[in-house]
Amino acid sequence: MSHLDAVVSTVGSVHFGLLTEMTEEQFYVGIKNKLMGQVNLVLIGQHYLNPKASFTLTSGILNQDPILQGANAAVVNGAIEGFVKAAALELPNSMRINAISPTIVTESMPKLEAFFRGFVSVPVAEVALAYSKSVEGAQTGQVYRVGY
Amino acid sequence: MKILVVGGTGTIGQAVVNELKKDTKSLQQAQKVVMFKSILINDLPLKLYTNK
Repeated sequence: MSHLDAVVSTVGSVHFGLLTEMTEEQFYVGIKNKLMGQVNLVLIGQHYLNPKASFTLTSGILNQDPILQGANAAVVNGAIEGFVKAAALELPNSMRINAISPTIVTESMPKLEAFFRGFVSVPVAEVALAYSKSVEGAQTGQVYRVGY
Repeated sequence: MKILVVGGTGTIGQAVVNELKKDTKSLQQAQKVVMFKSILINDLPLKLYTNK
């Protein structure tokens, strides 16, 4: 990953399921994938990126506006945002880090509508602008909430 | 400017790549997409988007 000026992460899986039925193993799905996948990207990437490079991670709305079966997502999103705020204090070489927290994306509504009843979706192109702001701007340690 | 977009083929990732490909201020000296390269870190599919 040498000579990169920005790293953007837009992925990560979590487990959706009833809390009363959730197992530790299922809870680790989000911890290992969406949380530690992105944390490891920073832990590894910080040693290879150019000075003043930036990291942009993805959290989501569910720690601020939770839904049924969303406990795993809520924990992971909150942890990502905490990590971003703390990591911004310590990243070397004037590197920056921010998180994007979008509400449900309009293009994903056909698959996820049942989980997000009553939510107002946001077009993915609008979400993308927040990533551009993080990469091409100057702020660090921020969580950009999009659509809510 | 070289940008690594992890998940560059997903719904959000594709939109992010499209947005970053625009000739915005910081990318005005850049050319268009050069390559996509897949690597893997901790189960996350990585897509490399570079502007040279």
